[in-house]
Amino acid sequence: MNPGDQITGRMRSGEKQFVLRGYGNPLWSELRSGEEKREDFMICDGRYGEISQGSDVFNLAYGPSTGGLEESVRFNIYTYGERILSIVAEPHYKDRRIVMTGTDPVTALLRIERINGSYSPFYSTLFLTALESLGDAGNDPDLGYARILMNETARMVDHLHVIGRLAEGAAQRVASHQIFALREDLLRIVSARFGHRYFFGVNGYAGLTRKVDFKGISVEIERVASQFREIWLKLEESRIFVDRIQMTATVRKPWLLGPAARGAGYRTDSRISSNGLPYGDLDMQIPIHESGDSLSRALVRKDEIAESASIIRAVEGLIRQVPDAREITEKSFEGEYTTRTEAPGGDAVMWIAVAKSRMEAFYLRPPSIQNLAAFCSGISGNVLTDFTFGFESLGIHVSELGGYL
Amino acid sequence: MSSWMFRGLRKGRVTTAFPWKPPESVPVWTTRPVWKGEGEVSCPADAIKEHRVDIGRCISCGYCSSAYEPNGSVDLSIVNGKERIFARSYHVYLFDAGTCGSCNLEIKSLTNPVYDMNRLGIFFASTPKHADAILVSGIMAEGMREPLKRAVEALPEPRLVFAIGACAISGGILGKAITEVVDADVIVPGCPPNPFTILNALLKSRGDS
Repeated sequence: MNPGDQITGRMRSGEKQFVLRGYGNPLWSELRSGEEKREDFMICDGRYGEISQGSDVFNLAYGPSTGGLEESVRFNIYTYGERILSIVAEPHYKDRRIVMTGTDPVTALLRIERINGSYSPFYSTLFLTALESLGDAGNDPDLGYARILMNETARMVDHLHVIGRLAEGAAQRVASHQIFALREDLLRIVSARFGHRYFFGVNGYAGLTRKVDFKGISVEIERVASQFREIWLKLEESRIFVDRIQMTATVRKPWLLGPAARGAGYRTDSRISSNGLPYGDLDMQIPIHESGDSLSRALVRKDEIAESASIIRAVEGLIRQVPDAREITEKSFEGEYTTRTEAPGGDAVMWIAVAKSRMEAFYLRPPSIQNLAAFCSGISGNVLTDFTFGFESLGIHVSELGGYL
Repeated sequence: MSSWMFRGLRKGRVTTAFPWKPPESVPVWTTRPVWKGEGEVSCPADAIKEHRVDIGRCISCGYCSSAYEPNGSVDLSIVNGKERIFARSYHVYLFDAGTCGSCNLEIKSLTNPVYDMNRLGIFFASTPKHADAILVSGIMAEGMREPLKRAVEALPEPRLVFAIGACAISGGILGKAITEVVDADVIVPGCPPNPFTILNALLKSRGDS
């Protein structure tokens, strides 16, 4: 194989640079074994989990397309019949191989928004922060607060979705319906304010592309957060719900990120160390739970919904005049830049290289890489009915596990 | 259990009155942009030619807002095949051919209490073998070509194939359309199409006025 084939991008971590190549390249295993121990960075080669062998062990194939999964992914479940011995996940079926190299920044931005629709404001913010840094666009605090508001709203939407799916899996249909109705309320607030339920097309270079009325948005969002608190209190009274998700898919690996890490007692949140948004101006709490199981991860997300509502309240008071987006085509970009942010599923890192205003290289390390690896690791030893609780509690988005050309 | 019931009663009815009344909330940029009569724009998805919008290519980015404004109508779908036999019971299967996830979420939203498609006799099937229609979303990812062909073949006759979203219809800005592999009877534009647009298309495809 030509070593230059299928280069998906490059990432700088500390002083070292890594070239990350397509699936099947023998370099993967070498890179992986060297870097797996790093706390903030793990390379995956497109296969997750281990194969189990033995007499009477069989492979129960689930996916890539089935009614129980929202996205296309195949699981090979190795089992004797009830207990899951191990799982190998294959997310490559729907790999879109999004072409980034050679595109202009406008096209790149639109494609980045569509890597994972649920994380659209996070990834567009990462890209635009990098671009604004390369283009010396300055650092407008109002724009930073507006982006925090968008990101925290999207975080609430995603957390509501994850907890709703978890409740649905644990046979709490009334609760899950009520949570999904709340999610719909929140999406309608986003739709009315931003013109799009997933923030597509809103985030622009050095500003927002639309006039957005932020006044009073925190009151509407707080109403959703308050109703969710009420639902959660009823939900945690249910012994069935708690029994089902407690002590299932327990995982405590040092490379965990986001709610999975915070649910396993690790105090990690890249909003504190982010080089993009002014989270440092805000008094922010980081919820921590210790058990590392599906319940702990749900508790972290539940606490983060309240925390996000509180952050939104704080930033709404700080926003004065958000600048209009500038034309990207008027600027000439040159250089490379790495940015990171805390997406709902965990830390996301983006590295871009631009030459003569064309994308020369692009790499995104999304949190679902770690979360899918965490699922494969944590679900081993559990019974088949725990599959749903483990998978849904990690909030995995298969769409962001693809490669880039 | 009773506390859930009281909460539900206190909250009141949340289900939309659509299709008997207009939608309560429409994300405007997922509807058709119409030329204001002046101004020129360059569409990043190549969806605008001579002031006409190819809605199957439109990615709902709103970058044309200086010269175009969305018309706000959720009746966007184009239905080439109708099956009145599904009027009372309609089972649909969601197929992700290569999405960003948002089309899937909007389709799944139809089961939440706000849209509650079950009240209209529409249900999700867990396998294409038990479905009347397949709702395909996303671009045609190479790895999903064979699963898509097999899923469509598994649908019993009569059957309908939906292409949901700009990616499935035209490939959008990311790749190839699903129509390279299967013919679509119904196309539902938007990026992603909002739940009202999808619900409207489902109703039209079974002959509801």
